[in-house]
Amino acid sequence: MNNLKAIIIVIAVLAVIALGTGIFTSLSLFESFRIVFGSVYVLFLPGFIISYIFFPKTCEFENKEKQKEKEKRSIDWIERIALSFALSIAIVPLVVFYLNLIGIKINIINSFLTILGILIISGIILYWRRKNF
Amino acid sequence: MKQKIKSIIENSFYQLLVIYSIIILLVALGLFWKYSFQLHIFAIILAIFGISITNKESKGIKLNRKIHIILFIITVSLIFLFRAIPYFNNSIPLGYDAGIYKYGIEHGLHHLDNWILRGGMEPGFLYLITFLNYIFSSQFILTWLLILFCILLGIGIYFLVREFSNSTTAIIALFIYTFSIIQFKAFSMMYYKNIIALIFILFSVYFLRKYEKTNKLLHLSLFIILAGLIGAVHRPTFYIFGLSYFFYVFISPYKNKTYNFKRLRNNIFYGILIIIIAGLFYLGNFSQAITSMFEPVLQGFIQPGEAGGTFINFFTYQFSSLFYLPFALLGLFYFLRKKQVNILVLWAIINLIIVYFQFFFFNRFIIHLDLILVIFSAFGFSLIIEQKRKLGVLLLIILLLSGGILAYKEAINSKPLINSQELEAIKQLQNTPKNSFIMATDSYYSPWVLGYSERKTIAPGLFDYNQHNQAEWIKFWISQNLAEIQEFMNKYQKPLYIFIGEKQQDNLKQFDNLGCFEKIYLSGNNSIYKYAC
Repeated sequence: MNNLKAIIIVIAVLAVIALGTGIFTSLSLFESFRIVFGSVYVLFLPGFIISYIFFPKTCEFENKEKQKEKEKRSIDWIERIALSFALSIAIVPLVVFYLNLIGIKINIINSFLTILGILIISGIILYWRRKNF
Repeated sequence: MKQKIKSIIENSFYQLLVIYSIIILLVALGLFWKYSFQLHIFAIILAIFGISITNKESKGIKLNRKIHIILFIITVSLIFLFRAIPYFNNSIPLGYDAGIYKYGIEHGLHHLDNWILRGGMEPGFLYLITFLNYIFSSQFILTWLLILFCILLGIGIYFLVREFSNSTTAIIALFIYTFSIIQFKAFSMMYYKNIIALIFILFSVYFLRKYEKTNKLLHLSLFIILAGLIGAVHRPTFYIFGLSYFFYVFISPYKNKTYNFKRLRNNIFYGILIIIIAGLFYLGNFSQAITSMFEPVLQGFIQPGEAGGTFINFFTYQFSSLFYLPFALLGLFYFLRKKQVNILVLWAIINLIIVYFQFFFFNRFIIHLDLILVIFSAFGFSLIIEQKRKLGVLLLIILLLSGGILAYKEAINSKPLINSQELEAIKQLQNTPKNSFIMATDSYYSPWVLGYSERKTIAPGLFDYNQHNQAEWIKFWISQNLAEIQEFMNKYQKPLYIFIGEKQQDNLKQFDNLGCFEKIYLSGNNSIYKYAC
C-alpha cells in the first residue's frame, strides 16, 4: 500500500514538472510530457530495477550502521538514484546493439518494447530472487 | 635535529599555503593576471613541502548528515546552473562539434557514412544516442541532456571518492569538479562521447573497488560491462582505461610481499572479457575503426608532440587548475607514500606521462587528467583539514570561492560559435532539392552545415564527399580565375550549392555576375550560391 502511495506521488510530481515545463518553456505540453516521462522511462527505470538485483536493500543516507549494512549489499538512496541513471545508459545501448545484431530494427515501437522487455525481465529476476532468498 | 627540520618544513608548508590561497583569490577577483607569476611552479613547490604531512594516517572527517545533504544538493544545483548559463537567451548548442553530433543523432546509425565507420562516431555512442532520439529531440539531447550527463559525471566522482575514502572527501571532490574550468570546457566544447565515457570509467572503477571489498561476482560483472562500454563509446578514453587496467593487472596481485598468481590470472581473464565486450561493437569495421588507430598511437610515442587533439595545452592547463593543483599532487603523494598503488593512482600517473611527454592525443587527455586530479585534490584537502581543521576549512572555502568565481566567468563568457543569423542561413539550405550537395568552403562551418542543412555535405578535409586535398583547396580559396574554380567545382555532382558564412572570406563574390554562381540567399554577410555551370 505504501509503495502504491509512493508511486502515485512520484507520478503526480512528474506530471506537475511536465506541466510546468510546458507552460514556462517554448516546449508544447505534449513535448514536455514526453520529455519528463520519457526521461524516467528510458534513463531511470531500467537502471532502477536492475540496481535492486545487485543491491537489494536501501539504507539511510550516511547511516552510522552503514558499514554493517554495506556487507549485506545495501546502498543509500542517492547512490541508488545515481546508479539508476548510470546503469540505464549502460544497459540500453548494450541491449539495443544485440537486438540490432540479430536483425531487430531500431524504431520508436521497438525502442519502447525493448525497455519494456528490460523492465519485465528485471522484474521477474527481482521477484524470483526475493522469493528464494 | 631531524624532528626540528621536519617541523620547520611543516610550518613553512602551512604558511606558504595561506599565501598561495590569498594569491589565488586575488587572481580570481581579477586584481592581477594569473600569468604574472610562475604560480604553477609555486603549486608544485607547495605540494613538495606538503609531503611532510603525508606520513600521517588519514582517519577521515565527519560532517553532519543534514549539512552533507544540503551541500550535495547545492553542488548538483551549481553544476546545472553553470552549464545552463550559456543557454539563457540562447538555444544554439555550444562547441564546434554540435553539428556533427546533430547529424550523428539523427542519421548516424541509419546512413552509416564512411567517416562514421572509420571512427568518427563510436557505435556504442550511436546506439545510445539514436535510441534517445526517439524520446528527445536532437536539440534537447545537445543541450539539456548533456547537462544531465555532466551532473551524472559529478555524482560519479562523488561515489567513487566515497568508495575509496569517506563522504566528506567525496563532497569536496564534487565541489572541485563543479568549479573545474577544464570540466566546464569539456562541456562547452561539447565533448559528448568523452563525457559519457568518463561516466562509465568512474562507475566501472567504483564497481571494481566494490568487488575488491566484497568479492561479489555481481559487482565484478558490472565492472566488466561498464569497462567494455567505455570502448564502445569513446576509444581514446578506453585507451587510458586500458593502460591503467593493464598495469593494475600486474600490480594488484602483489600484497604483503607475496604475489597472488591466481588473482593475476583472473585479472587477465577479466581484461579479455572487457576487450570482447568492446570489440563486439566494432564487428565488421574492426580494421577501419581500431587497427587504423595503431599507427597514430605508435607514431605518438616515436614522435611526441604531434596529434595532440583539439583542447588547451598543458601550460594553460596548469594555470587553469591553480586552485586545486597543489592539493591534487599532495593527494597523489599521499597514496604513493602509503604504497597504495590502486587503479586511480595508475590512471593519474599514466595520464600525466601521456600529457606531459606529449604522446598520442595529449591535449585531449587533459580532460581525463583533470578528472583524476580533481579526485586526488579532494584527498589532499581532506589531509590538510584532518591536520589543521580550522585552517584547512578556511583555505578550502577561500580556494573554492576562487574556483567558483573563475568558473562563473568561464560560464558567462561561453557563447556558441555561430550566431542565430548564421544558423538561419544554414537552415535555408533545407529548401534546396533533396538530392543536392552542399559545399561548406570553410571548415569553421562544416559541422554546422552537415548537421543543419539536411543535405550531403562537401567540406575541406571532412566527411565522405570531399574530392580534393589541402593544396587544391588552398588554390580554390585564393584563385581569381573562373576556369580554375570551374575545374574544381566540376568534380562534384549537381545540384550543387555553396554556403559562405559571415566569418569567412567570400571568394566567390568576384564571379557573381559571370553566370556560374547564382546568389540565391543573402542575409547579412551569409550567402548561398547555386553552382550553375
